[in-house]
Amino acid sequence: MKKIISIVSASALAVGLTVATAPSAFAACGGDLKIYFQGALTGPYAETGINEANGVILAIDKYNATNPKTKVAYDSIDTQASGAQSPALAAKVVADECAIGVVGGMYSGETLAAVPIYEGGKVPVVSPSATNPALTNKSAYFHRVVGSDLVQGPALAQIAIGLKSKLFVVDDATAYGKGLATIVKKNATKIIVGSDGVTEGTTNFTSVVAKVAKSKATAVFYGGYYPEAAIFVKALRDNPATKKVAFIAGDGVLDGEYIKLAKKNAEGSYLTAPGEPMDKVAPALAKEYKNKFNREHGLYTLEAYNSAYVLLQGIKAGKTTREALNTWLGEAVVKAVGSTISFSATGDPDKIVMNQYTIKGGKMVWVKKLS
Amino acid sequence: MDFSILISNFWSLGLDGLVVGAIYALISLGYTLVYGVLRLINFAHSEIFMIGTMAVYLVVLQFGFTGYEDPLPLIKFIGIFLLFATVAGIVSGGSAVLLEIVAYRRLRNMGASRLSSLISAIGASFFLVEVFRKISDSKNLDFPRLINKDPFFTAGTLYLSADKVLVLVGATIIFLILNRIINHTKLGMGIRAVSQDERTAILMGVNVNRIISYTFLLGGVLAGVGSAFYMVFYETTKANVGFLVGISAFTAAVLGGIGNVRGALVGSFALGLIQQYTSAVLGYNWRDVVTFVILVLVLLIKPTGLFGEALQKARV
Repeated sequence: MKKIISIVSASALAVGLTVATAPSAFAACGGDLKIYFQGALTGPYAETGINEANGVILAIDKYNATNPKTKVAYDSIDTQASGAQSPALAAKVVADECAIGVVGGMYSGETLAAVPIYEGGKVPVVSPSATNPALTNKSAYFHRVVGSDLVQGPALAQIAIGLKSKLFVVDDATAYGKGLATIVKKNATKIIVGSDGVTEGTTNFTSVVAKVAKSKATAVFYGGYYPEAAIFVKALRDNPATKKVAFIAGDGVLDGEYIKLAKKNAEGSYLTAPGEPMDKVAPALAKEYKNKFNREHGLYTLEAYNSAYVLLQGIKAGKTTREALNTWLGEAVVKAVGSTISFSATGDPDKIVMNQYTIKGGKMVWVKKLS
Repeated sequence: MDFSILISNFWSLGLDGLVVGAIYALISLGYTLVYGVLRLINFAHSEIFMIGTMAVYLVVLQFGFTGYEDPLPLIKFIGIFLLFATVAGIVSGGSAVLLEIVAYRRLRNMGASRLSSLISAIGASFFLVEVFRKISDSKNLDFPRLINKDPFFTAGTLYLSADKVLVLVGATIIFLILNRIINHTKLGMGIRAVSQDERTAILMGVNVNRIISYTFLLGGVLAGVGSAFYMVFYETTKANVGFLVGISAFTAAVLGGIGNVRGALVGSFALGLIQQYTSAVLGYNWRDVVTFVILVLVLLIKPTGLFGEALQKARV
């Protein structure tokens, strides 16, 4: 029963009923301060989530190993990347007196839904990978280390234009997928020959493929995530008329699971991500990661590490309350691994990078820096 | 809106619609058979289908395919496919019988209202999805490419590949077998008798509980075989795969007239074609809008669906 009451009160807090009285309660943290990770640790999107969570764990462990004055513990909320689940879980973080900051959310939809709750509890948030433009200036408590899709979209459009292609655009109607597709369309108007939208979770792409074939497109952009992208690219390769079209997609598709599901069909895809290739930018850290977790790092492992690193630097500088840490984030310039991180007043990073990747021999391969 | 695609891709879209329709049909038959004898919508039937796909997935794992091999020779593939269909049929059929015993039989014997059975069905459906979500970690499970899907016949935008032919031919054979079972066997006679009038059937010496079990078994086996076709065609599954497919199959059964075997077949193929053509002309996102508008219109004009609910008189 107690648990139910605490959940009820947490959600009451979430809707802002008791926000005014909340901060005094946070002084009562008995143990170590906690940095939470918000993302998918189970479910279809868990591959990306686990690689991010491990990045956060690595950063915290390395920080604690330096014997700092204030030790920090790791905790997580598993949203399965769902915007329907993230607000209630965010309320749990807000209600935890020891929670000082959040690394996350992992995807745009879950982040958009959770940020108002964090704002209500004054919890500073640093996202390693949510790229939807709607998050820019969303809240004084939201920051991210990656550029928005306003940068990724034009970069993707440039790839399509560079291929001298006729482009067909498909999206999955999610905040991320549709958002990115809209920006790509805007930046490639001259070469667009058609577009369609599907629903997340669909397996039947045959009618979309027929439309692609009819439009005589030579390239397809898919705004969405890897589970559907894998089925879509297979369907394209199976139809003789669309066998050879170039498959272009954003960071939602760039994941080991995409290769696992699409197999040979994933080869040669044109993919972008603000995420930096960790093995190129920070080979020593990548090796440490592999030794510790006994698995390869993923896209955004480095960004998750750096997001946690920024929060930890603030704590090291003595900012041990949510409010103080958030104010500090607004002003700080942190030399993180591979880059210097500072946030503009909108929460976006001052320095924005974009990378192009492809799939070769069943592996993600970094191609070049785009901006 | 792009009506010109109807001209340029009419046959290729139609073929895909028929293939999808054949898979729907195998599942919608389960809804319709159970409704025929019990006057009850078995909402957990989509999960019986999902369990079939999981069984196929587990069988294919035993072979250790990586998905990077060349497709199997046709004879070998057909052998392995028969194994998939058999295992999936047994597992799905068994699950359906078990489901009937656990979720429906007791309620029925106690004379509970139909509403209780309906809620029980929905509960069973949620239970099964969540159990498999837990087991599979909500992941998309991939199925290797075993059959050569390169086109062997092309005419304009239409092309035939082995997987599509397999689904169409395989499903047709199964419909013929089902036709024989329903119209020419003792079991089929029993099913028709119970569906016509349960009381009289009892008086005539029909063991109603056994007939109901067999009906669930039959529906389950059909869904299981359907799941084997589904896996070869779509090459992926997940815990909630039954939801979208189940909704479509159920809609097809209602469209054709639930309780009517021929109705389920016609409804399924009609639905497959409608979905394919509307998503090509209006865009994928309009697909379900148009589908359900058509369904409502049909039910307004003919509340019992295209063929009415008359299993006892049905011919496949």
